[in-house]
Amino acid sequence: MAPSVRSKIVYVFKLHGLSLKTDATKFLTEVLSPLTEVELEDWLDKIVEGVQKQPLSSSLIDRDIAEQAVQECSQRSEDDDDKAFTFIDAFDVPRFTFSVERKKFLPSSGSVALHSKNPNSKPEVFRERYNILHQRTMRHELFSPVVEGANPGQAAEKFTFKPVEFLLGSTANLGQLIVLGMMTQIKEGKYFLEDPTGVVEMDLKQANFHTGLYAENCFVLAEGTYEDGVFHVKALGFPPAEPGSVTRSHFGSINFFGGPSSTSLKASAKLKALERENNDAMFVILSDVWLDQPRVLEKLRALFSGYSAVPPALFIFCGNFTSEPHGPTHYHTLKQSFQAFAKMVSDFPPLIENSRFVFVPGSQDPGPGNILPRPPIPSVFSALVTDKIPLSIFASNPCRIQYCTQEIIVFREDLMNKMCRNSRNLPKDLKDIPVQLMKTILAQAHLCPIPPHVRPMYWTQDHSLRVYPVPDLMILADKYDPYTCSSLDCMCTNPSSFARNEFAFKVYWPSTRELEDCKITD
Amino acid sequence: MFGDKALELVKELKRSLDGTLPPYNEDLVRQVLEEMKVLFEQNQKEVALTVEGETGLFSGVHLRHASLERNKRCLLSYIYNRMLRIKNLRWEFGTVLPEEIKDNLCEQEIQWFSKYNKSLAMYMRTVGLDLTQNMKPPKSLYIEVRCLEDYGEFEAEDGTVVLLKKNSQHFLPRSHCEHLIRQGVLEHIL
Repeated sequence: MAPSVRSKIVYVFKLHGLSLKTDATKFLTEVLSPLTEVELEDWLDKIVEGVQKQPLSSSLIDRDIAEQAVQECSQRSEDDDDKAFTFIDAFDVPRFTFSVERKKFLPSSGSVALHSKNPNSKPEVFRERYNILHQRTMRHELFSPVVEGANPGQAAEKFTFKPVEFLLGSTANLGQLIVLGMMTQIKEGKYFLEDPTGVVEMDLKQANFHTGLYAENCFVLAEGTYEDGVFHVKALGFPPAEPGSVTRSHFGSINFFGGPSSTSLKASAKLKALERENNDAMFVILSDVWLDQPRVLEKLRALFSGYSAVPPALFIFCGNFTSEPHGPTHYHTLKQSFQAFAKMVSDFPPLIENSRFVFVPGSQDPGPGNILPRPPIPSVFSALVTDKIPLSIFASNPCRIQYCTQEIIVFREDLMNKMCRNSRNLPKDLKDIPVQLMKTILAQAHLCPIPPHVRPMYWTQDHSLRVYPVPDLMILADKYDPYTCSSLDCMCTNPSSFARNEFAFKVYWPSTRELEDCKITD
Repeated sequence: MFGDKALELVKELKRSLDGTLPPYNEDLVRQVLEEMKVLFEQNQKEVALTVEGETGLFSGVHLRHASLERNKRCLLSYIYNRMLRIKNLRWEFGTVLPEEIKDNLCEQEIQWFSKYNKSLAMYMRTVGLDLTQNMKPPKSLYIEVRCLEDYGEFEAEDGTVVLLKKNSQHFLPRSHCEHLIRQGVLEHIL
């Protein structure tokens, strides 16, 4: 039997243009020899399919690839429902670089060391952001090339933008121009516009700001005239954002978001149906859960007892988990608070069985220095909770959650405060600020478009803060007042501080995509 | 001029060397489609006006329609010719494309390639013959080959294992090593 199975395996792989290494053949023979002839053919087909799905570099298949393919085949039938939730750590977010020549996103396989070995990574961060925004703006209908045969009126509505190089290289008066570049302060108090081709000084005295918060290191479209080495800006706007569906229609089914699937789950009909079926699924979102305060725990108990009859699919707890730094006893206090929390939850068995608990650390929570992205809370603390609540997940900050076809980004950061403080302009009406913040983030395609000296981040991990393509829900947990706004098929919400803001929190209904303000009153 | 961009697509493909595949020019394809959309909308508008009784618009409609047809032909020939080249790649390189070539393909082309592989394999199985072998009539069953790179262990269908090391020479059945020759791992010594 054995030789015939073996030769059959080799033969089928050869027909598919693949050749096997000895150890792979041995492995496959072992796995497949107990099967009957008909079964063998079926399984061989499946395995070949599994092998071809993997990123192969040569047609020579070794044991690892064969093993993976076999595993995939046997798993596929089992854990279909388990894919409803995927939690993606910021450090596992796939990295894609936009290839300007090929005009598409290629997965980059470069080093993923946390601390870069060479200083090139830092300019690379901004160059990549520029490339993404540049291609997105070029495709926008305002900037795409004029279509032949269109109405003459349409040509007037079109704009073109120039690189900085174009300004620097000319002496004649160029008239009105639009330039896409990054705002920087290379010299104290003077703003410059920078792009990969050069730098030009900007004069913002006459500038008219469109909606958005214009912080340093933001990419802007500046319109104005160039004279005597200075770019006199008349109007300043952000490069227009595009909905996620448009991005996906351009770049196919690449999975930008992360997770085990190689293609984006947006198109999955099965998950879509699952999402619609679970119309009572809800996410409870809390921020600033100060577990060291008895009053907070008391309110949490009220919350849990209220929800134990209808367990939500997901609880999202954002840090900080302590009200203040407790000095030398800080870790001790935090341990005790987590213990108390776990004990309290275990009083509600329906929640433990049915709900998932996600913990996103804040800036005061234990962990390495205050640099983004932030790893999960160390296992010394989390073990206390995971022992009692098996479905708890300690996530990084920011973290990504894939629920069926929906993409959710959770980010715990006092962003409003920082953006406003660093912004060059502020809207007159303070009510507009949340909308403007959201527009800024979507336009910049980045969660934290402020200079690294204000909010440090790992240079090599900048891609984990990208907001491109636009997700379905952004949870920007902030101590600022609660808000919910939406634009471009994306909702943005801030649950506000649970402990500080009269125990307010948010509830999200994924099936109808609604957000609800909630509060625990006395 | 109408149809210029579409012609450029075809020219670009024609200018590239035979057997190579330039990157899929998504930008230009999109621009052509946009042009077609504008032409179509204008035609519709003018036809509607003509139906209402306005005269003298029909020659413009004809011109636009001709340009639409031409654009369509150009786009289709661009896609079709790329497809033919991708088909050739299967016979040249086998089922696994080198990374440099794969990057030049667009999403749908990659899908088509894998589907083509599957159909070909299925067909070869029902026929019971490896069609990718013996593309030219063989002169002898065994040939002498030299290995050009460290490939590792190679196992033939009958289970014999040959260690292919760089610069080693082997006397192998032609059917076993033909695809390796095509991939450039082995060299036929004449």
